[in-house]
Amino acid sequence: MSINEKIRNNNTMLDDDMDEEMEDTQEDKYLTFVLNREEYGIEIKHVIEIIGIQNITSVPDMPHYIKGVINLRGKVIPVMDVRIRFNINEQAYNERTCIIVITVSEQLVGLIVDEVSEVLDIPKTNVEPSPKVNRGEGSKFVQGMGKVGDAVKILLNADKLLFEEDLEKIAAL
Amino acid sequence: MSSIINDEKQEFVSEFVNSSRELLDDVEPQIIALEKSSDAYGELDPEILNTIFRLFHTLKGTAAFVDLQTITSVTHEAETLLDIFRKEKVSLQTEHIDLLCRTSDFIRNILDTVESQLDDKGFENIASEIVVDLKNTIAAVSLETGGGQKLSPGNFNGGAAPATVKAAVDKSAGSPVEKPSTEKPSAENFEEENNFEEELKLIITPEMKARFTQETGELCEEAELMLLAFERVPDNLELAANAFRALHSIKGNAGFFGFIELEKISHSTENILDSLRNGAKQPDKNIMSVILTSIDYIRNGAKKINVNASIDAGETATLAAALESLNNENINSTKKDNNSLSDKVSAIIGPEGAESDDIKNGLESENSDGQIRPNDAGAKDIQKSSAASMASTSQFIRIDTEKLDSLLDLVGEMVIAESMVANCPDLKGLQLEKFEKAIHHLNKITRDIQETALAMRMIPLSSTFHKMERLVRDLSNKFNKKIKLEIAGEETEVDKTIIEQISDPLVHVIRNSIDHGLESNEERVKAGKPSAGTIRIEAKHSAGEVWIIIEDDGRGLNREKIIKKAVENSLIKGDGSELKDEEVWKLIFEPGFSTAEKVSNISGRGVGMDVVRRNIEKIRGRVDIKTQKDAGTMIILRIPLTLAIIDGMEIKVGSARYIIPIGSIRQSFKTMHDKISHTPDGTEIVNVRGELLPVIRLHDMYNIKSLYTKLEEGLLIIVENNEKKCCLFVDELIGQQQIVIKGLSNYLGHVRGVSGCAIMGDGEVSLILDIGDLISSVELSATA
Repeated sequence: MSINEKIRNNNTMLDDDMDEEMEDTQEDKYLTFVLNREEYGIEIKHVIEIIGIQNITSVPDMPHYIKGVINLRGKVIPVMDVRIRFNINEQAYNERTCIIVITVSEQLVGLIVDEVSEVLDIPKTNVEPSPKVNRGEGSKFVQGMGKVGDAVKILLNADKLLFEEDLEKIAAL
Repeated sequence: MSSIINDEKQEFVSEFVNSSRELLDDVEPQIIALEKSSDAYGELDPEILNTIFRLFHTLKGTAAFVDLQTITSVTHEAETLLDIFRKEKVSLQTEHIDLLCRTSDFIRNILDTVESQLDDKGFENIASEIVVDLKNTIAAVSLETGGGQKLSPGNFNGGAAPATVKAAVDKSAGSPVEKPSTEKPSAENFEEENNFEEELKLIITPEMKARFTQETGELCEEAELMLLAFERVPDNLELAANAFRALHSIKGNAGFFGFIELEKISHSTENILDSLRNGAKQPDKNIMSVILTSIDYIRNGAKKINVNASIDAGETATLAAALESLNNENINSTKKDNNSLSDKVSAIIGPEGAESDDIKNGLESENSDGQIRPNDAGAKDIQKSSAASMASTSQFIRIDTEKLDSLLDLVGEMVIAESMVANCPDLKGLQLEKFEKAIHHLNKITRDIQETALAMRMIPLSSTFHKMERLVRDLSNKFNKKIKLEIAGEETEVDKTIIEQISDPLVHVIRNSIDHGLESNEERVKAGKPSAGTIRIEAKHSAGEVWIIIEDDGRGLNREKIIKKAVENSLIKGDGSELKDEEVWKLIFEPGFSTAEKVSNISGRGVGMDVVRRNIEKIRGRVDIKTQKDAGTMIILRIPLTLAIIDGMEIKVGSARYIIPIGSIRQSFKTMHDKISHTPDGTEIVNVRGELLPVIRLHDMYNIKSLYTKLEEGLLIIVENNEKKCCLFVDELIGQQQIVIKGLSNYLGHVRGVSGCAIMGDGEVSLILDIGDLISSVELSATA
């Protein structure tokens, strides 16, 4: 999988070089993926690897979007269905469904997405702040809108995606 | 007693020999690297120089601790030589390298003898030869630097070299009161030393600090042990001397790193210990307490240094004052000390007076040959010495725990992978005789590797137990109760994680025993018991568990008192008269439970026993209490041998699989319709041979679609935790196997009724059920 190689290259650089260089190579790079025919991007520095969908062991008492845990070569990591996280209707997993393993604040989490596209350079000048229209679940996880040619990628804030509490949950308290 | 001392000495010495071999193994490559760097760049790498200096310094400190004069003297001289190199731009000669190699070879040779003989007799001549050679070199080198100093006054390291020379001149001028700065910083050279330390501070790396903290911690522990033993046997001055040596090493290290506060305190403490070991002072309680406090202070100080926190100046001042007043308390005895000290000082300085003569001689025949010649002989020597290092086998190596943990993880993976191969679905139904044989063999080896890997994490309980000696001593003074502490089975080994977890519970249990359990001395005499109470700590293996037993011969638990308190705090319903004794004893673990009328600063807040239970349960252990009125109480901490692996029973509910730890399963059975009754709140109760047990339907609990919904169709498993039982309703049992426990991701937080997870043979993840949590969650919903 060529994308995985790219990620791996990035990550080895991460190991080898000092901070500045790492910032250089990681800056402005995004892994893009598809969710309900929309293109999203997530900063490459969070991404560990991409794996195909596999058996998920469900864990009780979790929010709906946490589908359970998987075995990633001996590490047990939780997986989140991003569709459900964004309140998009669920869809049966197929051979294109992928799990993007990301790490934020030393937590490994798998993100289930429809399919993975590519690694893209989106310079800051091409990133616009997200429109301030608060509609739907997903908007609060958006970090900005990246323009690539004519296309627009929705850039996600990985931190919020993982750790932002449900608004409903807070309201319910 | 003397045999014990011998044993202890044996232990110290073998530890010393091992660590010294390690140090030498470190030193030699560094010496060679030093020569190489000087060859290549014409100047010395300060990093390497400091490393060598440090290693020799450590050697010196530890050698002094086990009283090996020869090693101490050679390393001391080697250190002086290196110090000069460190401070001055002196060109390195091949002779210098040769000399350093010779020193390290000499020490290595001695070590073998020391190991068998426990002393270094017979090496004095060679040692003094080396010392003389070193001294000559030092003289020559310091001469060279003295000259260089005059020529280049701009040298930024200036201050120190004249100081060395000045000190040497002072000594030769016959002022024996001035001590060498490494021995004891006198007021005069204290400032210089500070400057010198300022320079040093720049090069103290975090690793060095960590090592300092660790070493200091170890030394503090030794000193403490010795002191406590000394307090019991005040006639045995050797014990005080051992403590003295430990503190001396601490002082040396602290001085080397420039931790002035620590140096000061350890210095004053050392003084007191000196008068103790000379018999000039008697070890009364006051002195001992002050000394122990300062050891605590040093230990904490070292820890603070490691995390770059500053040491409380007020604390330092108070302690210093206390130590000072103790030192001055008995003027006569201190005078005597001073005399004996100055005797020693002149003894030390004597030969160095001669050395400064050498300096003078050297001054006249100045030798400023700065070229370094590569020398084949030197290289050969070095080769020889590294060959020697290969030959002498050391019994211990230090390993980073992180490496151990990752090895353990990998072994866990291997166990899983092995069973994935063995149970590979592709092989199903095939007749594979040879494969079966091979896999059986592999299985055996994997198990052995696993066991060995686990054993590597096992450490004896002794240090944890010996920490309790100190606690008992302090508490015994505080409560004015005479207490005898007995320790047994300290060599019992448990997993490192467990050691970390049981220290606190142990402290709480012992505190409770002393405060509540043991009567005052008068009461004891009245009751016909020996006036001194006994606390006994014992560790032993018992059927896959480690038992840590804390026993006292005090008054025992008081059933009426506990019940009264429990009723007051509404921990129990009714008057508690129907409770079994065991149930009553369990009440003392409830948070906030205390029968103490008054909250003392030791116990009585009702936190301690709650901590005990929590910590022990965290490591999947349990606490048993046995007690008899007026005869004493016995608290047994039952702890599993390891945290990493358990025997688990895999069960199935619908498509989900869970693991129940075998230890909590009592029985599984199919029930009949007429054995089930329903309470009005919907709880199902099963009658098992007269015992009425509530049923937990796992599929309801976890919202899974199960195969069976009628109790009599599926399977009931009786599980037990803390003597509370219930039935789990599941579809079927799959089988028993050993599993490697993994934590569920932190991201998920605590999951109700789940203690962790495991990767099964087919690579899938199963959740491990936490029976205690399950039962209490059922109880909660019942009371709500």
